Formats: sequence, structure tokens, C-alpha cells
Amino acid sequence: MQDQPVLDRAPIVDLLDLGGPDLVQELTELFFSDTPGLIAEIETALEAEDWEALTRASHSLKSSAFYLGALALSEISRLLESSSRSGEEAHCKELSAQAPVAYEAAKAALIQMRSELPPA
Amino acid sequence: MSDAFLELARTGKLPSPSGVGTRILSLTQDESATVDDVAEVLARDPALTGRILHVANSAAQARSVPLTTTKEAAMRLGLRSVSSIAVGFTLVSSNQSGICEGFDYAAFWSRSLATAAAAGMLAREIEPALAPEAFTAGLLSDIGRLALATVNPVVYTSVLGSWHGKRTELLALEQKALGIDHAAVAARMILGWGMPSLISGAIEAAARHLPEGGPAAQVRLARILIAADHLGTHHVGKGEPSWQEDAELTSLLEALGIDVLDLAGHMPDIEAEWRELASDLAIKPLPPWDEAGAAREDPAAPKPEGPLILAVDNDPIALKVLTNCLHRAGHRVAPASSGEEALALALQHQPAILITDWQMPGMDGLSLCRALRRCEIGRSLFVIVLSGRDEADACTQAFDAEANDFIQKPFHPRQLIARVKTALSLHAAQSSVANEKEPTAAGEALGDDTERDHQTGLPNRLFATSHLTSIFGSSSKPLSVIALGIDGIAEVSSTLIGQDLTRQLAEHLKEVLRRDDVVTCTASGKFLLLCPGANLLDAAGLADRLRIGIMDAKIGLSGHVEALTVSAGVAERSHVAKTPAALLQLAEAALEMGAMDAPNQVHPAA
Repeated sequence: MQDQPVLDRAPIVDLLDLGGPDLVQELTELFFSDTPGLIAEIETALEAEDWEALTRASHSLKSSAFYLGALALSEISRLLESSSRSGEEAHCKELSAQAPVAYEAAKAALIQMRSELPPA
Repeated sequence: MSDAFLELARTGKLPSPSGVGTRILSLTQDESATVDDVAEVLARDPALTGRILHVANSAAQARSVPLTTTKEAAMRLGLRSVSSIAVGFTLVSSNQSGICEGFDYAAFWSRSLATAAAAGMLAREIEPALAPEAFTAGLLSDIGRLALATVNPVVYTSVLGSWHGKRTELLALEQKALGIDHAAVAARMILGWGMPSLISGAIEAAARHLPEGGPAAQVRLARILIAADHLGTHHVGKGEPSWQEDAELTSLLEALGIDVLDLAGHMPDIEAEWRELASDLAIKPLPPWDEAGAAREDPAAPKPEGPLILAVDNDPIALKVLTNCLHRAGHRVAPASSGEEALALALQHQPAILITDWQMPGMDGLSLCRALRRCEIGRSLFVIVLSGRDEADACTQAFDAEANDFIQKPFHPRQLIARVKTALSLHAAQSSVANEKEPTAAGEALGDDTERDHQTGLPNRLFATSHLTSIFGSSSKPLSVIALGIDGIAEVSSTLIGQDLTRQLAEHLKEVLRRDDVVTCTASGKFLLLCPGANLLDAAGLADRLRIGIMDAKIGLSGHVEALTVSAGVAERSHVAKTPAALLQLAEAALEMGAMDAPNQVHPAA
């Protein structure tokens, strides 16, 4: 997963094409307000060994991270989703510890990207 | 531990500012933003600039020199006031209609503007410095109700249905049904937009009719809002003066230190400002009406035009991208964040197209599709399933659930729009066919219709499945299926070229096949042929003759494209393909796998 970039700009270019900087602004805000909750859900589910909740939360995270090009985070979530399906606890724990780090990196990259956007 | 507001926010459906409003929002969160930055952003929206100056000038004292630029306005009123007004106005522009059946959007905004005008006027009377905040707070005083209606249209309709008209009663009903009320929702949203807590606090207190408590300015603003809401709800736009005898109004104004008789001089101003704002924002100024229970006498609120698309995804970001794509392509969209909600909305609003995510907690996309197909309205519905699943049979499973189309997630916006366009033209063709039929034949027509591909006039997958099922066990003779696909169709399947090639090939197949051969069109450029009596070898032979015939016929677009070629996958009923679905799947898998490596060939299933 180290191969995946923190931020791939191609999806952002698509979103810009679709809805301009406003849409990117709105979606990133949604991402920033939503993701910490999902990561917390992942941690809680893992502690409670609730594999279903873990699968669900990591599936959501995989999808929203992908839409914004946060590929490293999306890849961690994808692996987490498949490990949670098979109940591989040790692997899940390792991945879930990486998620907050990947999120912070993605957030910083998205904020940087946003500041470089052309005006609306 | 669960926060009802965060749950609402997570759906991604809360009303939010649009256009310039979102840029202003990010500026207000940026400590280093200056008056010049805000003025520069506002300059991009001249209409909004005009509205802000109008509000700023009426808030400023009449004797002062009129403000002519947003920069002057920001310096006189403060950056935050001007930003709040701007954000408030963009909310009006972007939320003028919606799908909550029990919620009257036109009346909502008409009354919000009346409340804003009244609040601005009352503030000028007792504390001019508060006038811009009073205007913004008046405009957004009921935004929590709009939010609840938007996020939970079905539940909120039933909440409104059991409401008898008292404000505080509505709060209790909302709390019971949704775990949160509009007062709390409004306060949280407004704080989230970076507006001062003076505004959010006063709006919440006023909505609860509990103005006391909190800082003095907030108490005054809450009192202003309660009186303004009363004026906006009962008196503005009424025609004849009715406020003199209103005891409640008298006491509300007394609390502000205003004599009710002083209103005589102000009501015309409030009315004038209300009408001016309404015409500027293209909102119809409606007379007051009894909101709960009785229907409004003027039902003139125009119904939005165009077929409705129901978009379903439990992931807020995906839902937002999806609804944005559709909005920007000019479609009317209803968002839903669960299968259950989508089912209720579909039954209520009868959309033309359903676009649903597959994997969702609770009722997933395929269960939703199956549930709808069992209902009357679900039969003519065009269903597109979105999925991030990468299993090879995902697409087949979706079609087994009687979906019409399948799109891999994440999709490219253009790809989605093209598929929706095709779906809508099919839906339109289908509706006009249904309308032409005699009423007595309606049932028959529907049955006929759902089993026909409208682009080619051939039977569709639904028919292929049901016909194959009916002949599957009826004879001991062999039974085979040919899956035929235009080579390279994936790249053009949703385009006009793809449609045109599919039509031409369908015409060719109709000509060369015998009347009793069953040929069906299952998707753009994809055909299924059912061959009773043919074993694998016979069917492969037939497929190869068809393939050569199609090459010889030189089907294609005049001029610029090479003549089309086809690949075929062939499968026979066997101990492996022992169900109709398995047989179809085997033939289609043989086609998919084979066409990739070796197009323009026949590929028997292993």
C-alpha cells in the first residue's frame, strides 16, 4: 500500500470539471467532517470485535476516500474491509492503526490542493 | 453517545449554501481573510451584491450616505455581518424546491422573507446596530424545518400531518419522530456556517419561545425574532390591516418596548421590502395561511418539470457527487440515503429512474430493486445499479435482480450522464407507448412493454430469462444459448453511435433468423439467442455463420467507422449449467472472456 500516493489529483480534476471549485470545497468539507467519525467507528468496532460494523465502516471510508483521490487511505480501507470479512484480527489492528495517519496526510494534501484551485 | 445532528449531517443532504456562498464560508473560516478578499468573491455575483447592498442600506440609518460597494458595506456593518447575509441569500437560491410532500417550499420562503423584513424593521426601531443580524436571523429562523424536510422527507411529511399548528407542539413531534427538533438543527447548522453565536442562539431560543437566558443582545434578538415570526406568519401580505386587534402581537411588541400602534407607520415598509425581496429572488409572495391541517387556498406553487430521478447511496460523499452530476445535467433529483427511504420515496413520487448503490446497510440496492419490481410503479422504472464490487459476476447478479443497467463505481460523471440520457429516452418512449394503448389493453401493454428492449424493438433480458425458464425443463432435447456482442461496444455503449450500431445489428438479426428463433437484446450491443434443440456444436456453428454474415453485411456508420464485428459465447444446458440463470451466465462469461483476448470469434464455454 506504500505504492499508493497520498493524493491522486485525477478525481479532483473530474470533480472540478463537474462542479467547479465549489463542489470540491463542499465535498472536502464533508470528508473532513465525516472521516474522523468513521475512523472512530472502525476503532470501536475492532475493540468490540464487531466484524460486520468494521466491514461497513471501512467500506464507507474506502468509497469516500476514493472519490477525493485519497488513494493511500482508500487502499488501507479496502484491505481493512477484506480482512474484516475474513476476521483477521491482527491484520485489522495493524491497518486500523495506519488509518488515522493516512487520513491526516490526505487532509493536509487536500487542504494544500484546495489553496491552489482557481477562483470560482 | 449518538449525536442526532451528526447523523443528519452524515447523510450529506442538509441544505447548504451554493456558489459564491461556499467561497464566503471558507473565507470566514480563514483567520487571515480580509474585507478585500470577501469583496472580491462577492464581485463575481452581481445579483447577490445588489441584494447585500439593499439590506445593508436599509440596515444603515437613512440619514447616512448610501453604501455603493460591498467593501463599504463590510467596513460599515462588519465582515461577518456581510458574509452572513451573503450565505443566507445563497441558501434561498439553492433550496427553492424539494421532495418532502407535506412541506410547502414556496410558502416557506415567502414567509422567511416576510420574517426577515419584519425582523430588520423591528431591530432598526429598537437597536439599529442589530439590524443586519436581525435580517439574516429572520431569513434563517426556520431553516431547521427545511433541513428536516430535506433529510427525512417521508418521516417529516407524517410529522407535519399530525401537527395542529402550535410551534412548540411541532418541536415535540419532531423530537419524537427524529430524535432532534428544528430549533437544535438550525442552531447547529448556523454555527457550522461560521455565523456568530448571537444568530444561532437567538434562533434556537426564539424557536422554543424561550427568549430569556443568554447574553443581553441575544435575548433582544430572540424577542425580535418571535415578534417578526408572528408578523410574518399572520399579518404580512394579508391585505387589510389585522394587527391592531392581535393581543399576542401587542404583548410581543410590548416586550420590545414598541407600541403596537407604531406599527401603522412600519407595516407598509415591511410589506414593500418583502415584495421587493421576493421578486428579486423569484419567490412568489404568498398571503399568510394556516399551515397545519388546512391546505393553502392558493395552490399555485408550480410543480417542477421533468421526470424524477431517485438517487440512493448511504455514503454522503458518493451521494453528493451523484446528485451533483444529475443536477448539473439539468435533471430533477431526489436523494435518499438508505434502501428503506428510497422505497418509500419511490412509492410516493414515482420516479422515472432509480440509481442505487448496491452495498448499503439494511436494505441493499438489489433488494430495493426486487422489492420495487413487485410493485406496480416498479415495473416501468429504469433501474441503474452502482457498485464498487469487483467480482466478475456482480453485473450478472444485478441483472438477475432485474436491474436495467450496471455502472462500476467510482464512475466518471460523463459516463453516468450518458447512461441516464439513454435511460430517460427509453422511459419517454415507454410512457408514450403506454399512453397510446387502449385503456382495456393497459395491463397487457405493460406486460409486453417490460419485456421489450425499446431501442431495438426486440424482447429484452427479462423476456429471455422468463422464456428460458419456461422451456428449460420441458424437453429432453438439447438446449443452448448464444451470447452475441459487438466488439468494442463497451467504449461506445452509452453513446449515440453505440445505440445506432445496436439498432442496425438488431435489424440484420431479425432478417437472417427464422421467425421461431428467439433473439433478445439485453443491453447496448449485447444479444442473447435461445436455441432449443441445438447442442453446443450446433449452436457454435450457427453463431459462426451469424458472425460471418454480419461481417459481410458491412454494418457500420457511413464513412468513418470500420464495419462492425461480433464475438459470441456459446453454452449448452448441462450438469454445470443446470439452471436458466447459470446457462445465461455461462454463455455471457464465455463471450466476455473470449472477446477480450480474441475478438471476432466464437467462444464455446469450457
